[in-house]
Amino acid sequence: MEAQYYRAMTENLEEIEQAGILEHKKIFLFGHCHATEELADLLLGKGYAVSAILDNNAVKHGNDYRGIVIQAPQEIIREAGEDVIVCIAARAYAAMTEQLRRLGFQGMIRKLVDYNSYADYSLSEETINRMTLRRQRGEILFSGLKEKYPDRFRFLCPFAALGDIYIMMSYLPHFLSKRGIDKCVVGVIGNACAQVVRLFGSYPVEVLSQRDMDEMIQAALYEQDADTYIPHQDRPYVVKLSNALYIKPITLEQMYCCGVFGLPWGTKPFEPVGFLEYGELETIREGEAVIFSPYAKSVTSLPAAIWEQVVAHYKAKGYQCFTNVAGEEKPLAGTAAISPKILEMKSVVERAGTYVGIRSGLCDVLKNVNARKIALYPDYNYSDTKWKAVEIYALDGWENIVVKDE
Amino acid sequence: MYGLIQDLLLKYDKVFFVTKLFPQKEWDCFCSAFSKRTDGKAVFLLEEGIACPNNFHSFVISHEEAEECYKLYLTYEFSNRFITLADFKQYGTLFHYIETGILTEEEAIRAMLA
Repeated sequence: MEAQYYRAMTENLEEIEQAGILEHKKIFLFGHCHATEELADLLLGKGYAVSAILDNNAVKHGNDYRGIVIQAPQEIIREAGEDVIVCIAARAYAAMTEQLRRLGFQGMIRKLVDYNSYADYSLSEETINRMTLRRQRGEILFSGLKEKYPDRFRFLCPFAALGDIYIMMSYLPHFLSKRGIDKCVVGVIGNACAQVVRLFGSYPVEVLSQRDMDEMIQAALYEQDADTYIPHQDRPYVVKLSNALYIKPITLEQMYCCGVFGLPWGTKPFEPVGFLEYGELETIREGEAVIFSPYAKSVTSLPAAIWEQVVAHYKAKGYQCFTNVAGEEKPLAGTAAISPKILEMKSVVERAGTYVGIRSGLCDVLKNVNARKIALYPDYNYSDTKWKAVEIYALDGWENIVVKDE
Repeated sequence: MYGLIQDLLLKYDKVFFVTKLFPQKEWDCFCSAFSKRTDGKAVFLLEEGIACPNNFHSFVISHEEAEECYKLYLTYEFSNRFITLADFKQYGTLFHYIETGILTEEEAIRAMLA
């Protein structure tokens, strides 16, 4: 979970706590995802008991997180509404709220973090007016973008995920060619995504906040602007590609190549050209080091004990051990912190010779580096589908290992 | 218009809004696949000039109403049960999966209905 969202979630939780809303209430969470696990951690840390995590994915029912059982949303109607609060930290807040109300749940529902500014499941005059104003703000921003890049086709990437941007950029030149587009600008959220774009050449990049991006995309949709494309597999709400996963498993690579861009499967992705060399490569023992990458913002984390075992394994073999960290992240015990830029990661991993990371977008960036590469997958299902994450995210040329709870 | 949408969302599990922008071939395919479906209650909001099988629950709306409805859909997501069938040139679609052989037509329609 990104720091800004985590901060917002913490603040919102404190607010409802101070208002006494949680007192004497049975607390349920809805939507088993990484953010919900973080919310559960916060609540447990404050001494609250969480009765259950509601989730629509039947495959997850009966499992638990830290002893909190995962169950079907229908179970909530057994509870007396006034004694219950459902806290939601998931992108589908609006849909979840509507689902609970349609089930007949009358109790309190609270949004702990605002992930999805596109949705408000209401047709009240107030809502329509508010969302119209939001769209109009987007029109002003969008007009500014068009003025800044008057002769360029626009790609607006709705989500700050390195892996999505990497795969998207690797197929973008084919799409440009297919559409006969000469020049383009790529809009992304945050500098890390901009770095990934720059790996693929000298594309102009516009770095936006999440809010500005959302509003600009809304305006581009509303205007049905033919010179703008939104290259993502499941955002915003108009994109329904992920529905295909209810029918069959489709890899992330296929989603971008075929679903997002309509390119034939087998189209060869472009390789990045903009990697740089890390300035302190000599501090890494060539071929005798391992880079661990245990952190990911949108993937359920692995238990600390797993990483302890992995580190112990490599230390016993005499490897020099590093943990790739950013911001306030801490290195794994017994390892040294290392913080290369994304553009420098290839040189670091190739120098070290081994990379072991949770399956995050960084793995996509390092997809073709010349080293031993191990991706660890928590044993979870992709979104609300019946497919395991490894079926969607497995990488060719990598050792793809699923870490089971037991 | 908004009142009609609200009513339909209350009465039905899914509301399919079909505009003239939706290609006829895909619409024929959709109707064929939908006819075999037995689960859930669905209604079709059809822009005038679009025909659907007699056994479908449907409402015909004028071009002006359809334009208003489409603009509302493009202003924000007011329901995940309101599904718009129009032309999709600004983003990837399930039809790309058909063109590239990932899904059959029937699978794509099933995905749309999921």
